[in-house]
Amino acid sequence: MKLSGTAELSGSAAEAFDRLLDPAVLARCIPGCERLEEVGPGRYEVVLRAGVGPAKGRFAGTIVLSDIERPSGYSITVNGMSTVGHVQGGARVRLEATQEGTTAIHYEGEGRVSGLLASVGARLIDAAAKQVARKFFELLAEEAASTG
Amino acid sequence: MIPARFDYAAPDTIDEAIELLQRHGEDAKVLTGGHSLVPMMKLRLARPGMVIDLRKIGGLRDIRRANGTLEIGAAATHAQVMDSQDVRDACELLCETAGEIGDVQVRNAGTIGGSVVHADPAADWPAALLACGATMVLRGPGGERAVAAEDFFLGLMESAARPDEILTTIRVPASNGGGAYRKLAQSASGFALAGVAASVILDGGAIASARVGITGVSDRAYRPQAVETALAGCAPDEQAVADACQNATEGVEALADVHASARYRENLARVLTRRAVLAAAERARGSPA
Repeated sequence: MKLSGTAELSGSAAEAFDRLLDPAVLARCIPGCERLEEVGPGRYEVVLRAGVGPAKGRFAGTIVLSDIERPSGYSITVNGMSTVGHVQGGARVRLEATQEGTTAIHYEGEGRVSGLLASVGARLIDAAAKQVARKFFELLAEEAASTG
Repeated sequence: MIPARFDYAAPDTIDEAIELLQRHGEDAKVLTGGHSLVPMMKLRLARPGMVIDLRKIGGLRDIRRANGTLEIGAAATHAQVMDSQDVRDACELLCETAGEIGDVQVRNAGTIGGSVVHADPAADWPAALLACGATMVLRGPGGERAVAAEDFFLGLMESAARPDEILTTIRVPASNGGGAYRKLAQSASGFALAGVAASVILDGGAIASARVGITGVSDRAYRPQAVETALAGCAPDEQAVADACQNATEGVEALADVHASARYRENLARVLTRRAVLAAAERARGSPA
């Protein structure tokens, strides 16, 4: 499954970059995030509740950031386990200053889902992944707007 | 496949059901036909602590016509809608759509309200309800409110119904044109890879107005505004309608899965929109104005 898109954030690329790598901001903006802890440089442990309609599950996993080049981009690797399946994914995130003084965040990556989720939910996984990405950037935009 | 443990209540009135919803909050799920919720519970993807069965509530599955408006009770089964003469007279499109859902067993047990609130992105009803201008009547602790179909489907399995509200009735204005539903189903599940409902009104041989609902293509059913605009005043012939349907996925992010790529779904949306509109126009020609 491929996942790519662009989101816009107010402020400079450096400001946007710092937000994207701030564990406190991530904890507030990752949809359903219950716990996020920095366990090493660029390495986080995360617990989150994710759901689609009546289907809900709790995922525990890790987020690893690498190839960090402030403020132009970084790579992210996600690994999550739950009773309903395993989620793996990676993406390259690229930040770019726009002419309007905002920052465009381009992400392009690939994910893989296995287990029960994949066998019965294949039809909905693409839409669910897009929804999570959209919500994350919505929350991030709100955060950027409220803190300036 | 045995669901996780849950409590069960079968209230006699809607007010009791709403009270139960308020008391149990997010832990509660409403059950009518059980054809969306129960499979998820059996797979333990859904684990509601409380299941509120609405099937004992009187009148919730009635279908009636009142002053030119069709009222379908939320707990009416797909088969009931398919076979109802009142529905056929008021909005034939709904009968046709009902007949395209799942198989006989699904149609005999699954309900229109259950499907609508579940808001599956590939369900058949949302397309038809968008095309025929339906309104969902929701009842909650604060009373009743009506939500138009285009404001009801908000996202992936996300509807405008709040957790403490129950969909009681689907109101459909009687159609004075023709309608049709065209779908390509995934052959194992019966869900739409794409499904298009069209409702067409003719005037002097040309299409006066058309409403179109498309399901299966995006994370929610939607009305392709560009197509509806292009169809107004358009001749109901193959080429003109095909041209008008080119922008069936404008502004929409098409889904991809193991069964169909995004580009394939986009193409299906165009082709099925053309077929649905042409079939609806044909029926509009045949129906008494």
